[in-house]
Amino acid sequence: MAGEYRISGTATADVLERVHDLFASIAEPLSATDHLLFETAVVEVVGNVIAHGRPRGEVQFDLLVEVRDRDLVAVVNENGRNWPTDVNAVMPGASAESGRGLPLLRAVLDELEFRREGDRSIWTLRRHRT
Amino acid sequence: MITLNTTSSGRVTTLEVHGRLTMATVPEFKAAIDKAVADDAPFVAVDLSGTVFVDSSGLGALISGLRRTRQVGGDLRIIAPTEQVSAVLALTNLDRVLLPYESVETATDGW
Repeated sequence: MAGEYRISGTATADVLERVHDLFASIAEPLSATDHLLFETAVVEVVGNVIAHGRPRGEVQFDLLVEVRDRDLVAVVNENGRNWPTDVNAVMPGASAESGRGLPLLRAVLDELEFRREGDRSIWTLRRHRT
Repeated sequence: MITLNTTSSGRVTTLEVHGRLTMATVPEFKAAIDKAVADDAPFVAVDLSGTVFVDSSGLGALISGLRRTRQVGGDLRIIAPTEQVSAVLALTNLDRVLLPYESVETATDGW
């Protein structure tokens, strides 16, 4: 039986507090590493929608976090009118001030999937529990 | 949520970052760096001991701060990163660019 946690709303900067609150409310005993790294990944994806989703401040999203026996899964479903062209971007050099988001996601996740369904973008994140 | 406490002495600024350094709170951090540079105190020690969370925007702001301070002959050093921040620095290979110091005293030694 998975623990399920959901929030929905408009992708504005203040919604990140609700993502942090969601992770603070997880009742299942996760390892500290799993908890902080999966929270990092989900904040990264939601932050991406907030920063880059268009129209800015109007994108609607749903976040579902599932705590399963063997893994953690998050699904972000949003209706922004734009989406990334290169989900396989490599980590930028040390002096780069941007571009670390997607490589960071891939470093903390076992699976990262992005797909389009109609007018929605769906991000699926998965991390095996340690 | 973020709270920044800034103190300066001579050309050294100590910036305590309490809370989360993420895309939601980065503007305040950048403003504090800009102020340190404008006030001719560009040797900035960033105390991360109370920074519970950082995302890639927060990392970008730290790197941006490093660039801004060095541009005017200063520097930026980080102090006592927490578990999540240390993990993110390592995963993005920035742990070799932003070497952590144990305390304000060791970080500002020699400035």
